[in-house]
Amino acid sequence: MLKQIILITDGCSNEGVSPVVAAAQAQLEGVIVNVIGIVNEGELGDRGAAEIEAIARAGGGISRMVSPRRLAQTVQMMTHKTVMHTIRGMVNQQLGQVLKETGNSHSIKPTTLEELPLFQRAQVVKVIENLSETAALQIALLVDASTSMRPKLQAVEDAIRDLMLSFQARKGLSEIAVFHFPGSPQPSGVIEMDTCWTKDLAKIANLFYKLNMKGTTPTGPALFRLLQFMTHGELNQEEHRVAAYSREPYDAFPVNRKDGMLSDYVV
Amino acid sequence: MTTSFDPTFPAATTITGKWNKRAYEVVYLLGEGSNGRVYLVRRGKLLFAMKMGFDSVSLQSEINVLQALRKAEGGKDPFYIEADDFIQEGQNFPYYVMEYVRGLRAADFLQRNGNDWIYPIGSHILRKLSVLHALGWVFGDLKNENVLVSEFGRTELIDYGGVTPLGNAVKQFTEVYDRGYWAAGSRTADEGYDLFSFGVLLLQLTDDQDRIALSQQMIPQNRDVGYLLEIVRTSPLCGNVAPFLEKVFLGKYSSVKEAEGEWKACLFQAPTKQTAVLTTLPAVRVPWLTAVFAVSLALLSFTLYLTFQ
Repeated sequence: MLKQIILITDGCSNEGVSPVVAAAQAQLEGVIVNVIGIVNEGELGDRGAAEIEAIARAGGGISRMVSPRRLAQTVQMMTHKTVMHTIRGMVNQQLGQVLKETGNSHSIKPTTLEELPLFQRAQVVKVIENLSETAALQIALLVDASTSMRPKLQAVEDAIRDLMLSFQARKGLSEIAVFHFPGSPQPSGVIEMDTCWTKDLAKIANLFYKLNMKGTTPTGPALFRLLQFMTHGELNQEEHRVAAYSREPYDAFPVNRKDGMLSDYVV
Repeated sequence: MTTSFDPTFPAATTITGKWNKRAYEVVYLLGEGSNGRVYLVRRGKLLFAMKMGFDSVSLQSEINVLQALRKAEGGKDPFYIEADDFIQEGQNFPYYVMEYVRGLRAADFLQRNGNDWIYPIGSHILRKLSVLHALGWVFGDLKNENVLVSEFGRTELIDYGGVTPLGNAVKQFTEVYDRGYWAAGSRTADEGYDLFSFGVLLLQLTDDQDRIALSQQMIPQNRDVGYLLEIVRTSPLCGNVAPFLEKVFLGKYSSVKEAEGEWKACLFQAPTKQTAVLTTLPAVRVPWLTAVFAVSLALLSFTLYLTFQ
């Protein structure tokens, strides 16, 4: 199973543990972290740009800064590149192993794909391509939903739906989960699940339907929590239940809402 | 993930293959695509195009396709020449060499030589696609930038980076040419996928209002086949291929072969005299003349319909 996080943000983290640390931890546990800085002209600045790059480097992934219009394309490209890169790493490792075992001990150095003769390379690439099409893949999208991101959330949602379309064409198991942060303060949650692992987003009318009005950007804590979910299978239990059940009261009793959150909904 | 440094090789660099030992001399950089750079190179007196990939896996995957194509075409008129590695300062640069086609992108070619050329160009593309499909592949990233037209409308598809085995997820695509972008079907590589892109390409090349590009400013919910069909109906240059395009966008062709047949049928129905008028018309820009012409065209097609039904 290949696991990736795509973090979509437009600014610097300003609360809790450093997101670079969280990303490094993710890579350690086999989850690759890619980062997209979604910006209109000139926003973000040097500090934000540097942080985005650092998170991706620590997370073994790629970072890009794009305008909302190019978001869908960028998400596609990142996913594809990361999958290819991971599989290729695995194949290279196997290759080194195989060639060591077949006793080419006096060969100059362990062989990587680039050093293979052309004919053999052609065969290996066929294997890599086949694996990238059939390998099981889970991608969690972690979306910064702080105030400045609000106008861009529609573009984010469109990009996620577009990615789903590509996933449905893949042969291997392909699932997406979507989270945003900061989560609702009650019960206190760092991140909020918008949809659990799914192969079909069509039924979900509106992805980001409840947003916290808090202005902070706890990117690091959010990454950590998501990592916990991806490696241990669950979020904080309570939070999970709220995410699963709170949709109904939201639709039925919009009066109960204050500032976009459920003020009196207790699990 | 580390991205290795990709230098641009200056003119007069000699590139000698690690395996085949053939030497090429860089003349200049022809262009840069999503997967690599293409140089004009010289070997003796002969000119070739050389593609240096940014990534050895995707370059090799292109080479695999090109080699299979060359084999299938039985060696006549080879587009692909050879592949090799160039080593410079310990770094490995895989490349392949292909025929140098002195041509223009489809849109530029039409602008220079007139829109009538769309017919042979379309036929060329359809033929190329059907060869690929017969080998079990879909081209995937069909677009203006990947169609190179030279003398007499001879057309080459360049950049095989999007070529995908039938039934897999399309590897590389460009938004406005993508079936999924128009909510008109999946991103699974099938013959209909290429045909759809072909249809969009035709609209892109002939619509004087540039409505394909404009679609990128619309919200996704408003992008659908209806929008494309509207262009087909209102673009004066679609003329006699309109029924063909409608069937393409509605997914009515089961194979490119079938589509190819009907494409040709459209052409032979083409009222040759009128199309000649049509291409010179935009320069004149007399509104009533356009109207009169439209009426006469309608009358003509009605007569043809009566004659041939």
